Amino acid sequence: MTEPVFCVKDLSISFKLNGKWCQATQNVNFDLMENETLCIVGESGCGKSITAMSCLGLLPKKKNIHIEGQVLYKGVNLLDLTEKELNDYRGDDLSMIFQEPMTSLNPVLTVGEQITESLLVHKSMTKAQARETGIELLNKVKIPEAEKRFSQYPHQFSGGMRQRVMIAIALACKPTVLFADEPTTALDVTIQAQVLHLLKELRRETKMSMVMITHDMGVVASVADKVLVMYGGQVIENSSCKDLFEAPNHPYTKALLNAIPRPDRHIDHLTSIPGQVPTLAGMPSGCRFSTRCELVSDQCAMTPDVNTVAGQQSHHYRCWNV
Amino acid sequence: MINTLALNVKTATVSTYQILKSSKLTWIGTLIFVIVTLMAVFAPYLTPYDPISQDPLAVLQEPSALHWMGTDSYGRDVWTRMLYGARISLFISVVAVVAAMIIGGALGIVAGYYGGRVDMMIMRVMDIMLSFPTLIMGLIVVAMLGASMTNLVIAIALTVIPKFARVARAPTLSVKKREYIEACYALGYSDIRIMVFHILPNVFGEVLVIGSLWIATAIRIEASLSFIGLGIKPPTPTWGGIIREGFNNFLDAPWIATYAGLAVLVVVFSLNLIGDGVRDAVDPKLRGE
Repeated sequence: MTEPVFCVKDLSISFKLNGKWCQATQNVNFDLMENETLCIVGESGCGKSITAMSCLGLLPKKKNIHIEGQVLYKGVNLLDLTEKELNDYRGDDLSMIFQEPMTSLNPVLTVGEQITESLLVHKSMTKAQARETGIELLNKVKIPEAEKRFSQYPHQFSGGMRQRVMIAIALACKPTVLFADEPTTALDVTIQAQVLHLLKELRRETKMSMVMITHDMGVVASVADKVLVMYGGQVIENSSCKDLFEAPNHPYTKALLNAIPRPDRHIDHLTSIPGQVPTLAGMPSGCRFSTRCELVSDQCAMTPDVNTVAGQQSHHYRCWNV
Repeated sequence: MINTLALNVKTATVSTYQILKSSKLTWIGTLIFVIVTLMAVFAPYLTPYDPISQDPLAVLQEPSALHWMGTDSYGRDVWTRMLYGARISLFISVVAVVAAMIIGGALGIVAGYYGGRVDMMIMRVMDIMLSFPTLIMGLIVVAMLGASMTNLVIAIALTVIPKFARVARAPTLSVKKREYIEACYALGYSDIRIMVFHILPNVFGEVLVIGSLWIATAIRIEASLSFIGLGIKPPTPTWGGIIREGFNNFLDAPWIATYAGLAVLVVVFSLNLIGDGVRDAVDPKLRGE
């Protein structure tokens, strides 16, 4: 088996809130192979974005944030690096796309300036070379009249187009791993489909790996190779995309999949999971999903082990009652 | 699909320049200021006299065809001294304000960007500087360093730096929390790069508006300091100096101080008109955004 390109080991992140330490994520683990897409799914506040941010070393190094574990890129632990060393990786080998295309571009700089900047910084290109590459990139993300668009400002672009520009910026230096933090959440469905299609196509071309964060199971089904389901800062199920949709194990995953409205079922009300995600400070001891679980039993007061599904090497879940 | 997207893009927004163009008062202000500046630049061509050499035979003459604004107590042509004085007064004010804009703007951006202790230290020093009234601050500096052109520039710049720092800091605080700055971190840009290429362009407009307003104040400070004898030493003409000299003979020859005072008034007024116009043009509320 080949070595994973990117690897997160026992990543735990805690914040100090009102003098009390709260754990935002607990022992998150995942491996990412070359040309593989991993989706991290879960409700708001379950620790998806925090995980992605710490993968790029974007969490501020402050006294009230405590990070444990390892984030390994090609054998280098990114958590040990200084800000300056990290800047050599960010935007070059590791890149990120953000959720809000409307606010992720600087309104006072032209789109061209923003695309070429990382080329000038990381690849030490000349301005002319960078311009050429920039226009090529705009063509690649299918923006019509790239040459003309290159010198326009972000307000002259629509939401979907801006997200394409963001993708172009993120891909400028040909990253090995691309992190996409809910790249399609702010877009309407047709544009969403276009953007996902584009991402898949680009991934095939460039052989990069991708970590996509989303709460949309539809997105997961269309792009993922592997899926990580998170709840309350823990990974509760972890499997290949096919296995997860065919045979989900954890009650939370099942409930999530049940909550997707389906055209073949006639229903009056949308299915939902009762209750709310507990706050970071009020996490139940034992199984974190126990407050909302249908199958809850006495055993759930203890933290469940990570179980492996029989016959499926890479399918793990965290539950007592399956 | 993509074609319809392309069409949406052509919606025009009203540009800053268009608003500026449509304001008549701004045009009047600009016109006055440009005329005064041109007169200062071409001073030698606009008068046959020398601003410094004295003429004992023509002391304190009333305005006439020969001396449009009369002569002062040394027999020098007041019109000539006004023209040459404009050179120095405008030069000192503009240089001082531009220097203060650069230094104060940089301090404000650094303070706002790093926050915490850096912010605290820079802004407290600015607060101390602000606690001195503008004129008193100028007085202290000139009294300590002596009266020369450079020191006058330093004095005026020092009084104005904290205002620019404040104006630059406020928008920096809000801009640095935007997603596009976060995206800059994710792209591996250095702090200096982010401040210069991503925050500065967002802050520049507001700093510039204040700049145009503060040139007017700088002219006033220069005139005030010269008036109380802390400006550039005679016989070099400055507007404040001319008012000072005219004041000594105000009852015999009121025209000297009056014309110089009027010149200060007109230029300060024109700069305020420009400042108002630029402020309106930069204000997003008026742009309907």
